[in-house]
Amino acid sequence: MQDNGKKPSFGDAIKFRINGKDLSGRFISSDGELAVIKLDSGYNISVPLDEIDIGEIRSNESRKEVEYNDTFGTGDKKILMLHTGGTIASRVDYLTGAVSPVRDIGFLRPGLRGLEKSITVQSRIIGNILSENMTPQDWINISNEIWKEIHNYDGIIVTHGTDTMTYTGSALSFMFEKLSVPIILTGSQRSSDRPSSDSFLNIGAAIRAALEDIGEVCISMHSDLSDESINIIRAVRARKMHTSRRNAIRSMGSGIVANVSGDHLTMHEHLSRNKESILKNKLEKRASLYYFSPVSDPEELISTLRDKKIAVIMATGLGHVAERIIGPIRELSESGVRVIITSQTINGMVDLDVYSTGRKMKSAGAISAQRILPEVALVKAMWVYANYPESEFTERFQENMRGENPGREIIEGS
Amino acid sequence: MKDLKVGLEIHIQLDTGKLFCQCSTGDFYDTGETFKRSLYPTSGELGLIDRAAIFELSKGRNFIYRISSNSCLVEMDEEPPHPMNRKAIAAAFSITKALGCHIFDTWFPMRKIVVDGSNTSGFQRTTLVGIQGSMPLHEKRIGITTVCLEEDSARHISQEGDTTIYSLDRLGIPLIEISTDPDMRSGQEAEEVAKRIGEMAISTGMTRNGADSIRQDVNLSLGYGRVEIKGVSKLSLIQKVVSYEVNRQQAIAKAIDIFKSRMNRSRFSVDYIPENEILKNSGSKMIRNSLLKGSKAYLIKLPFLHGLLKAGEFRLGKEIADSLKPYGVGGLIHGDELPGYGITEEEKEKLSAAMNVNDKDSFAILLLQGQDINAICRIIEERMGKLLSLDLSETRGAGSEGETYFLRPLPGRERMYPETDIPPVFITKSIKEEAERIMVMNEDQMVDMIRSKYHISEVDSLSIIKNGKMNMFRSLSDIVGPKIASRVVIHTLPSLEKEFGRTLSDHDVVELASFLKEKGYEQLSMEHALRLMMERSIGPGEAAQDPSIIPLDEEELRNFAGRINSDTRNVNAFISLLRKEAGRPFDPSIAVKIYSEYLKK
Repeated sequence: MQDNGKKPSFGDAIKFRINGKDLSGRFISSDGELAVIKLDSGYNISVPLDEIDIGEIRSNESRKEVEYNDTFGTGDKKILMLHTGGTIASRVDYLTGAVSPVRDIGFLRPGLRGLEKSITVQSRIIGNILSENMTPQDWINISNEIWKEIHNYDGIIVTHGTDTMTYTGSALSFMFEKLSVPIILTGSQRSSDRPSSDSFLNIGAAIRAALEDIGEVCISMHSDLSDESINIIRAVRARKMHTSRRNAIRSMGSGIVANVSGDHLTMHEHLSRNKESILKNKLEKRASLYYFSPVSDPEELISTLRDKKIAVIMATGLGHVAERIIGPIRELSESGVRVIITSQTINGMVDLDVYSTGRKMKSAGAISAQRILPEVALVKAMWVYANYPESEFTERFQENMRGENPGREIIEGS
Repeated sequence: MKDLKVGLEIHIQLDTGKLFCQCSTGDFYDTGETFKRSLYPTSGELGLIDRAAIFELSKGRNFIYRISSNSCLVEMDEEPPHPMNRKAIAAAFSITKALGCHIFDTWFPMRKIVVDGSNTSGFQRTTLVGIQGSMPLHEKRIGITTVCLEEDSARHISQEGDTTIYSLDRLGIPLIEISTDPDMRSGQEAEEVAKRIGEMAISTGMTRNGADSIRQDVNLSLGYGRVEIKGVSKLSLIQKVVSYEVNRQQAIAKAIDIFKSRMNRSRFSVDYIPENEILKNSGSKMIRNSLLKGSKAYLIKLPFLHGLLKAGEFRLGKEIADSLKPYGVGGLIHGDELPGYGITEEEKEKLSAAMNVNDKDSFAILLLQGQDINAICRIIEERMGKLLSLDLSETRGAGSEGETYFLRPLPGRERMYPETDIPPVFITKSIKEEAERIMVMNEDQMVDMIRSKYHISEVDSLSIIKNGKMNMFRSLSDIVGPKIASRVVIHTLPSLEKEFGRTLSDHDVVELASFLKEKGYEQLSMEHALRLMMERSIGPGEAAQDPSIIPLDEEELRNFAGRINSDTRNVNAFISLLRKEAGRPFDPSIAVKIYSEYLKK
């Protein structure tokens, strides 16, 4: 590399030579030994710095500052869209490799065709958190952001990473004891900088759902492989069941709230909007989720869960753990830890009355989560513990408050 | 005539398994399952959206994908790509090296934005392997600009309204793309270069054999900008495409000269009048039927274009019509085509009068199915503006007779950004060693290799290579020996292919051979079984099980022989009659034995 006193920076046009032939391109990055250069053809190549002559450096032509809008549409119905981060609202910065939020909501346009004149969407970035980094405090913060504006809007959309979206959705679901507007979480499995992103349709459907008479916290995601049908799923019955597919978030063992196909929305069983909203967002954070396996060690269980107030155990089958774990359950229960039993099967109900193991667990103090999904049971227990008297815990925990613990399961699709 | 410069982009499919997943590049079938997608515009690394992408998106399309048995979540854009196929990396390395290129130590998979739906992701993954190679052509050298390793696109099945249907079977098959410098001066040179490069790749034994396993794009310039002609599937079409395109461009240049001499204002503009009584009562059945089906008819004035739209060598009418096709406008009838289409001279006069057309002007009837007439007029104006500037650069397609047609503008450089789902490929010592083991040969070397290794004649060796069946021959030889293998490859298959108008994959033929070998009658039944596969479109397993391919034993053969007139002239005629009568294979030496017994009687 010629030392002409100037080092290239990102986007600079440079000329260089390989094998005695002149080439030109744009400088992308360098680790000190290798330079990554974008050729005029668009390809990136890597060239050892000492093998190329950087001749002329022309500075990056003023990169057009992308103009962005944080509102969309001109209609009367007002929708607030809060961005928390995650794939849906992210673009890759090719300079640093970092993922940054999309500020311009113009990218939503394709998913909102036909709604420009009936809605006004206000978009606001409240965080840039990959969903795996979310904490209970973030759930509380999001609920506060919603609470600040809930009276000024007809519906709330929260964009969120899909990995822990169902935890946040469940938390909001319990915290908002009553809802005067729908809260719809949505995300994507393919980032918005890809032409094939699922985000456009997911957001479009979320907005359509946010205009409906829904008084629940829901999740809007693809129902299958196609860009055709989007399910609006009750957050407390939702679970991410695939690492990468568009329809990763499924409604587990209970019906969906609505379906959006094209411009058409079909409502299913749901709770209507309340006259007012009530927020109770205290949470007990001393809680843990423990996955039982044949390898589980009683001492490990005790030492992990001793200092908790809530211990949700993902047990096997109907809700069973090994005999050796029953002692620890008793010890934990007696010391004030609420030990809640859920099942690794995800589908079906926990029943501690059928086999003797279950009955022994029950008499040791284990609380059945019945049909409540394991992650939802964790969030619900944290919320119930913090908002109700201790004596009511079991009764409140097992009560079907938001559709999370339906009395029956029927056979159906989706 | 200005200087003709021709360059090539040659795409060669590899038979190494797909590039970014574990799916097969061998045989597959349609599962019957489909899914539907849309694509949306996004901006690249430097913040701009590619103009070719905008063009495709402006058409507003849906895509249906048919799921083939050789596709998984990766092809469906439902799972991130897996690390790049190592065999394909090695093959790309060895071919690039044989072309004398500078090969990069690190390969960066890129996303090339393609939103015509041919990639479920909305981009094609492509990797620059090497640059600046060259190959000899007689006295000169042809420069190799780049060699890339990329994934093949989904196979186009059909277009139904605004929905395009693709199959996933081809998506993700590794493709080596070899681009040459514009160093060829004729279609003949281009054909020769394409052929040599193709043969070289085939000699590695790692390429796919199939109808579209090697495809060429022809880049051409005659001083009127660069035209990329996509999808020239056969070598024999290259010369036709070049001469069609040269004639086209020269005729445009002449037509534009005439046009300019007539034009008395600075800007070309198109006016229209909506459907009138003349059109409603047109003598043209096509117009009346379209109106009945809900189309709208418009009259547009095409100033100064009389006699240039379609007369003698001039075809500007086709230029205009082609530019409207991507927007779904199929109906355009222009003045130079009239009288015709049921429109009489009298009706033509009336239309001209209605449009206020003088003797230099022309007009056209446009049939629109919902398209905006103003937008369509702007597209025609843009097209004429482009022709007037004599910058004819664009992407064109090639038809089956070598004709070319407008596809889309040339892509800009903003169409490429890094594939962030997989790390760059570092070319390690072990990859290089793997690549070293792959032989890349030219035609002479291949003939020598086949001749010496399999002990067959030079003529036969050459025809195996000319038929593009070297890989099949090598695999077959390992099973049935070179004698039968060469017969199958040189005689049996080509004649069956001609008779049935289709081909069998390497994989199917080789599998059949091993099934038959297991049964011990590979020598006698190959031909019958291959015919069966063609005739009934069945797989090798089924064909090998069919009772009609089991060779007759001596007793059975005698039975059939008994039905033949015993005064047959000679042994060959006898065997040929026996073949017809039996319909099953048999050992000819037994037949000879039976015949000689007859003679003795």
